[in-house]
Amino acid sequence: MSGFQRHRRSGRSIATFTGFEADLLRSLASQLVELLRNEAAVPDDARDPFEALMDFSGPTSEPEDPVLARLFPSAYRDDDEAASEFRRFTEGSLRDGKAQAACLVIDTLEEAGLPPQLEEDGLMIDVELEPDVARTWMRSSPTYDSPSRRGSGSRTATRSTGSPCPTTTRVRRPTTSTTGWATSRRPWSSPSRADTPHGSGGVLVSRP
Amino acid sequence: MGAVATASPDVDSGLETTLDPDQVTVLATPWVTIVWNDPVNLMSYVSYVFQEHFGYSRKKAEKLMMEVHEEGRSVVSTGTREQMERDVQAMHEYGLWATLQKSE
Repeated sequence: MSGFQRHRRSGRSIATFTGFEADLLRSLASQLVELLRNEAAVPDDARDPFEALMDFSGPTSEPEDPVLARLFPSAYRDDDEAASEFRRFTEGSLRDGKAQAACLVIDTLEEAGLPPQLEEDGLMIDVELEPDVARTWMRSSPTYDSPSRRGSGSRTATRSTGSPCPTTTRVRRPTTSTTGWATSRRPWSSPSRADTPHGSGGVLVSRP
Repeated sequence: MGAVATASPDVDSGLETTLDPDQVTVLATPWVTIVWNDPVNLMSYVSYVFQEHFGYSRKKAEKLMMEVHEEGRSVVSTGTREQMERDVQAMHEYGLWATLQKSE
C-alpha cells in the first residue's frame, strides 16, 4: 500500500491494500482482541447493564504479561496503592476500548471486501475511513506491535479462523465508566466520550 | 505570699484564646502528567496526540514530543490530581506511556 491519503472534500482517508496486507492487519488485530479477551477477568455478556456500569472491581496489579503491561501501564511510579486504585477504575474500560478499536479495524477491512478466508491472489481492497474511524485506526495500530514483537509463538498458533469479535461489539455498549457521582473523586469519564463512535473510549476526547 | 495577683481565668477579654484556625486552607500541590519515551509510537503520532488531546499548537506539541524523544520524558500538563488522572487515562487510551506525580 502507499499510505493513506486524505480526500479533501469528504474528509475521508483512503488507501488501497493488497489482500495480503489487509489479511495481515486483520490477523494482528485479531491477535490483540484474543489476547485482551483471554485475559479478561469476568465475561460480562450476561450481566445486568447497570451492574456492569457500576462495576469498579477491576484488576489492581500490573499485568504479568509484558505485552499487557505495556498496554496497561502503571499510572503512578512511586505509589503502589494509588496505582492499584487507578488501575481498578480504569483498566476495564481501557481494555474494552482497545478491543473495540481493533474490532472496528477488522470490521472496516471486511466491509471493504476482505473475505473471511483470503484465497484469491491479486486481490486489492480500497479502504475509505470516515474521520472518526480514521482516528480509531490511528490509535489502534501501534498496539498491534506488541503481540507481533512477541514473535509467532503460542498466540498465533492458537488463532482460530473467523473474527474474534462478537457481533455485539458492533452495537454501541455502555462500556465507559460513569461520571463521578458514584465516587466523588473518580470523574474520569468525560461526557464527550458518550458520543464516541463504537464506544471505544477517548477517540474524541475534546477539551473546551 | 499570696498577694500576687493573677489574671482571673474567667475574664473574657473578647479575644479567642485558641490560635488554631477553624480550617486550614492550603493551595493544592500541582500535579503533573509525564509522558515517557517508548519504542513503539511514531514521533508524528505522539505530536498528533498532544495536539488532539490537549489542544496544543503544532509547535508546542512538537517541542514536547522532542523532549520525550530526546530526554526520555516530558511534562505535558499540569493541574489538579483529578485532571492529571484524566489526562493519564487518555494518554493510555492513545497508547502512550504516561504517569502522574506531584510537581517537583
